[in-house]
Amino acid sequence: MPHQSENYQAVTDPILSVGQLRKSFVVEDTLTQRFRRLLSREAPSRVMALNVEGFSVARGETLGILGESGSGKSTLARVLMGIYEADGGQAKLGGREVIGVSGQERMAVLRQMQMIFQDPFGSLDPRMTVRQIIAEPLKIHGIKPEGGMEKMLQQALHEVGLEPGALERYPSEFSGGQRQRIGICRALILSPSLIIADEAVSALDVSVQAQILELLMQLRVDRQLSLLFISHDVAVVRQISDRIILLYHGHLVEELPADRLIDGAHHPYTRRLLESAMYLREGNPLKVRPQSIAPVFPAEGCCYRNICPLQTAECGKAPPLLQIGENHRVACWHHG
Amino acid sequence: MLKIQNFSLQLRATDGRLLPVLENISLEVPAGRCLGIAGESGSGKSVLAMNIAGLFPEAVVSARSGQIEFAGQVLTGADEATWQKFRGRRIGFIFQEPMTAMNPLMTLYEQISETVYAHEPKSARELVDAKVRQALLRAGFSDPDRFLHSYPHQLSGGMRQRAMIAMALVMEPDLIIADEPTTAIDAELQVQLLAELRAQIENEGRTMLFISHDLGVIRAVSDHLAVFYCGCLVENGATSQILASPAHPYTADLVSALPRLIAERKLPVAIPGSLPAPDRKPSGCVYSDRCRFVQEKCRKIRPHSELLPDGRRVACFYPLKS
Repeated sequence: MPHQSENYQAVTDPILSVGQLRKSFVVEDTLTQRFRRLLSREAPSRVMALNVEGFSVARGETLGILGESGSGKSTLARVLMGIYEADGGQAKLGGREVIGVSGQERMAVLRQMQMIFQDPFGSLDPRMTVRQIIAEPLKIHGIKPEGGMEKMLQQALHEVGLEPGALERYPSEFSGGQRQRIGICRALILSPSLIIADEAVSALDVSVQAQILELLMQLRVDRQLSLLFISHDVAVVRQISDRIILLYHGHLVEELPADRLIDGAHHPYTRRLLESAMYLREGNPLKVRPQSIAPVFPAEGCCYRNICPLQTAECGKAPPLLQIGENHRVACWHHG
Repeated sequence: MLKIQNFSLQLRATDGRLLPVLENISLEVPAGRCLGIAGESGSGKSVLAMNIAGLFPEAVVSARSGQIEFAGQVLTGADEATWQKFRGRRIGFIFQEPMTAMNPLMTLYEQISETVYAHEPKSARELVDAKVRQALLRAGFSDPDRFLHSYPHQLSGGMRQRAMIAMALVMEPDLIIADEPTTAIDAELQVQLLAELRAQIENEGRTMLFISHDLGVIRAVSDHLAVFYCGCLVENGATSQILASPAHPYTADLVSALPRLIAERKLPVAIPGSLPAPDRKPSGCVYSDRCRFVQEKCRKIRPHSELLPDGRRVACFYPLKS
């Protein structure tokens, strides 16, 4: 593992700085395996879902997190939000420790950091009215708005483009795009400084997707929000982000400015993602026909080497995350 | 191969409201070609697909007119026995969500062979085995035997989606209806699945109806394109032609809403407003309340689909010039 990234700070005024964050899960096994394990007192086998080197998000910045399903991007969001407990590592939000804290400390973190979820149907309680949904974070954090609750809720609704009448209605009465607005409204009501959006537009039609992206960009300017924008969609991430980090099998393999993504990406994984995205978005011809591969991740060395076209003997050693330009880091022995 | 003529469908909601969900749809898909159907959720594209496959719940239908003809046989109004000869055998359906469309208690082999036994109950086991393997190979499983006895939850998302394709292909249907088969999955996997589907058209001569809200995906897989808005067909013609220069303002807006990967980095352009409910459609052109180029006439009269000199059909009084 690279050492220089432990104290890595790309930005001068970070709202969030993360250092070497790790999370693994117990592999679900069969009953017989579990029984045998119990007898032999073996520890259950674990799979590493997240092992990211340090990165940070500047105040008012949008950091895109790009990767395929299984790359660890949702795990990262959930570890930061405290939904999963990290195995180790640190993360600081505005100077406050995020990892391994509980009780009052965690509540203080969550006031500053809120999340928008992917599924606009599953993430809103169908038996709560919009009023209850939006007011719930205020209630949990014991906040009594100065101008009165009603005024605050009305303002919040207006800000995300919903009609005042929406307060008394139930989530089922809204379309997918409107529900996502409700989810955004709930995330904003505490006036957090950082929003984590986990595939916030992936389940929406393109026309609605564009509306929600527009809203997020507007809110970002109005409220000087920092945004951690997680998605598997290369085009969407590139459009909304200032910088982008790429995750592969839980590792940070490349970090670069969004402007550099198309012609400045160095990691072979980044370039592979770009190839299929360029084909789907722009109709560019495919240079290589993608094969159906279920990658087997190597136990050591570069996590990508099993399917990498550039693989050499050197790749048996894990490549350090090297700074190769301004805001540009890459973990590959063959970069450039 | 597939011919839809003046097809209209009106539903009755639980509260008694009458909902015209499809209006006067006329479309043809020649054999060995792929027709892409684009539109937002609520535009009626899935309803049409389910009507072609005889999967639409009759209980909610209040009126239906026009006809759907497949391989010379009129399917609208056919009895269940006729439907059973077509559905699953000559018309294969790929559903959007493998997790809800597959039975969690059945192995891959059981799910796929079920279709074979339903149509040919007395099939010899070896024959069924061969068909299941063949279908899995066609859907891109390089080693079908490894997964035959897996349950859906043991497969990755991509494999489940491939299994759905195998289920639709096992009886070697002439027509494949794919309803958003690649929505919300990784780009690389999408590209792979689209290549498998495209191979079915080009190498096996099958006909396909491919439904998606993503015009990028439709460009990759289809020869012809039909754009739906609010239960109406607003534009149809050759896919490449329509995407290069949309004639209907809605198609143009849909194209601008696509996230791009070009040098200039700008946000996709959102279409203001939202799709009206089927019983609240504007009385003139269905797109008149959201259209950037709306004229007085558009608000009063509903335009019919007209043939343009370049061969496509557009339902607009003032089609955009390329």
